[in-house]
Amino acid sequence: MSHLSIKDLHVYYEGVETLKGIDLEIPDKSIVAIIGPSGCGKTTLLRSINRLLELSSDVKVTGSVEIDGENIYDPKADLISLRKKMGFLSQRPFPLPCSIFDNVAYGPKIHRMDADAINAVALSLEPASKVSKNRKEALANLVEICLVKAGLWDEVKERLGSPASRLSIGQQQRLSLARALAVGAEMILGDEPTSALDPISTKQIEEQFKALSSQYSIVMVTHILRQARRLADYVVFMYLGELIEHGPAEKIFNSPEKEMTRRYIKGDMS
Amino acid sequence: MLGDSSLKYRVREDCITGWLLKVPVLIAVGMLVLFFVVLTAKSWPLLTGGNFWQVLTSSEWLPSEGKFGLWPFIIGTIAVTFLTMVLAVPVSVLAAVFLNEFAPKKLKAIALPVIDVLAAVPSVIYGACGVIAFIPMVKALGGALGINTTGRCLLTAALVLAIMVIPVILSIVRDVLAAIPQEAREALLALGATRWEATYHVVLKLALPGIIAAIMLGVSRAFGETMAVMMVAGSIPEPKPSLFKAVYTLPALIADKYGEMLSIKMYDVALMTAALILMVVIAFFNFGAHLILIRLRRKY
Ligand SMILES: Nc1ncnc2c1ncn2[C@@H]1O[C@H](COP(=O)(O)OP(=O)(O)OP(=O)(O)O)[C@@H](O)[C@H]1O
Ligand SMILES: [Mg+2]
Repeated sequence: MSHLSIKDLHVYYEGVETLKGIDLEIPDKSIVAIIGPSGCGKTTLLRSINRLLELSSDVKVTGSVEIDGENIYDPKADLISLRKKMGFLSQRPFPLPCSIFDNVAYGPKIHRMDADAINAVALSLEPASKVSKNRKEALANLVEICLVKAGLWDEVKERLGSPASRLSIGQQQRLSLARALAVGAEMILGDEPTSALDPISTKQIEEQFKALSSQYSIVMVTHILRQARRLADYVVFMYLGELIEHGPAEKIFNSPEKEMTRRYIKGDMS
Repeated sequence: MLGDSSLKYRVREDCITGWLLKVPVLIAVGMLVLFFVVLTAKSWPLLTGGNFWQVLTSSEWLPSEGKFGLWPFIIGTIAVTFLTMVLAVPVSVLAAVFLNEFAPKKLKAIALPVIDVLAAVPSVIYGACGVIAFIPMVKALGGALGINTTGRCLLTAALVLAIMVIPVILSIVRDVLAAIPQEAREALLALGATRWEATYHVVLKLALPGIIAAIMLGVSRAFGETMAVMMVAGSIPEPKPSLFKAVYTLPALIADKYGEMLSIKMYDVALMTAALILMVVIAFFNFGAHLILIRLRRKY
């Protein structure tokens, strides 16, 4: 379980200030919804948390994002192990060009996790899970547990060897979730993870999030207010690159302090 | 019944445009068939003369005595193409990966247009550069290794051709890489993969069909290149190719000799047979490449 705090975060795209000083403590073991009108910087904020932001050209970031007290923007930070702690679901899922099994096993493989490390991840996901001294068996157990936790196991257990690209988009998104769980992610970031999905797949992802939130911090961007109402324990409202208001979901939805939040919640602003 | 007649009109229109769109395809296919028919007809006397196998495998090229052994030209063409690709493929694929995945934006902005210009430079110019730069260099290299060479040899030809096809392959591979969705890279980086792992495991895997297509194009270019090779290869038929010995390719042979000494009996037939062999090899090669591509696409 890790703790995330963001301090005085500024982001500039080509010199234009897009995030204007964000300070935020992400509460542990809960679902945090980032809401706000289009273009307000939700995606930017989320991608600054795992430094995917720097893939875009000409971005400058100041301030800090601390995970368990370690600043991810520290030049000496171990970016790989920090990213490993944060599973990431993008708007459109991307299955790796290999089998369903290998998609989930990919992370443990590149991180060269041995049988003990693999068992440890499996046990943290499911205390009752099988363990094995044999790395291959341990990996197979872990893949199963991750797929179960992502709510995909029953649909794919007969065809773990077939290409992941043949899954439906909703299944692919749950596969991304399983992939993230397998590296031992301690927190899940989602950028509108259900926006490409049909209502049933959306419901499935939401259910997995709910179930996982007893163990994980989940930060998700959404522009569907009803989804935020259904899921969120904590809500962050942003407007034009500024953090306007944040707090427990009931408070933000029922008695927001700021006029702007009230108008957005009522649907006057889009 | 206006609606009815207008529907009929639209259906007819659809039918006609369907046919019009097919015409260019039919012309292209027709051309290919025509090439084969003409070349086969022209080389018929050699094909059916009973000693065609000898034409393919003999190294005796003595037109005035009626001996047309094409083997040195066939193996010469293969050797030049093979060596060219050995030199060009690693360089161009690695350079494309570097440019697309790792290079800073400014370098990209300069390099990409330059590469596209290089890809369009006519082959005579590459040939001239080969004469000025590569022939003396290879000669010096041979000297340093204790090998006596004029510098007009297989190695020089392959070097010039490699320089020529690198921009072509590089440019296509770069386009293929650029078309791979950014999500592919992000998905891996977010799992804690390094840039190189993301490139190697996913980007290159997704790009493989495109890379193969680019290489095929490079091979076809090298295989059929005439001018640049003629200028630097020495043009002496050698039955056993060797880096520092001269080489004579099929296209160079045809370009050199066609139109000259055609009074010699069967000479034109032999040249047409050389052209037919060139066509058949290229056709087979492209066909094989297509099969590979289809299989790869089906896999993922
Ligand atoms: N790579 C980039 N280069 C330049 N400007 C960018 C880039 N990415 C985003 N922006 C700008 O930064 C601002 C915030 O964008 P961001 O994608 O974070 O918004 P968002 O809240 O996620 O919007 P949406 O709900 O539409 O996804 C926008 O004005 C956008 O135009
Ligand atoms: Mg967004």
